[in-house]
Amino acid sequence: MTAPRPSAAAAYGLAAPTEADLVALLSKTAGADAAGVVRQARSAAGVPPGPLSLDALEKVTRAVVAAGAFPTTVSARSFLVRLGSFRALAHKGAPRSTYLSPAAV
Amino acid sequence: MSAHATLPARGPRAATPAAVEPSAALDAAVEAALHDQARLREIHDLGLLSEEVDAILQAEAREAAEHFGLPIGLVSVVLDDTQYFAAQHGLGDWLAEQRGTPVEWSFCRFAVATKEAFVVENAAEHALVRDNPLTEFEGIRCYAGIPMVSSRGHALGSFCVIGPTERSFSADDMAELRRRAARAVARIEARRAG
Repeated sequence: MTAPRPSAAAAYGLAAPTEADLVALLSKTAGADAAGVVRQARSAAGVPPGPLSLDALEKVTRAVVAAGAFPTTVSARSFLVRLGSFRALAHKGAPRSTYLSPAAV
Repeated sequence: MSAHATLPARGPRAATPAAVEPSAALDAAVEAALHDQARLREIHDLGLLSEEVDAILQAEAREAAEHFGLPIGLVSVVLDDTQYFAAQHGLGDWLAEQRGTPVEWSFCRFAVATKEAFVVENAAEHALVRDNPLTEFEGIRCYAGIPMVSSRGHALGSFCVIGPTERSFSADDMAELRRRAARAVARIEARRAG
């Protein structure tokens, strides 16, 4: 079997944003309630419990944005830009290791 | 020692950019510039992150692309974790929709960090960007960007043109791009006055 080509994103020290990243970001303003905010956003977005795909994480993130729970509008946009960039790579057929977080690969 | 100390020393009137190569000094300069709080505050104060696309910057981006015969012109504002396209011409697909990328994918961050023009004639062979996802998956090959430095000395982002095929940029090309970047900066500075 041919060894997979090294991930471009890995070479750049990157990993796609995760739910944990979202919680960490929200904790700047929501503190210990950040996980609860995300749970509520999951419910509002109709996303069931369990690991989130990038598409599902975007739905949840947009629900968080709609709830006004991001620390700033810039932080919300930056998170969505980073998330959307990895989603785009995924949809373009980039290797899984390019766009999934290390824990998910 | 300043992180910039080992970067190529170039005067503001240099016609063509020095080659920028990977180095610890460049990495340090990029990190320092990206997280420079005074720079980020100036970007915020100038309103460069507003949702409203500046029609004049948009025209500058389009006209630059057309002048160089390239498909893409950008006014890219470089933040600490993303780059944001304040104006763009020619981007398609998700890049146009999102108006940004992770900053680690940004060619423009090198212009911001060095406050010098950053030129890539063939991204597929350039040590700094050949593994960049935008090179690998979006097909960027040539890039020329001029740092947009405010009158207060902060590099806000880059005024750049981009294409899908290898090409070189002459001294005259870079002078023209500098003129256009200066107009974009003047437009941005006018927000402060306004």
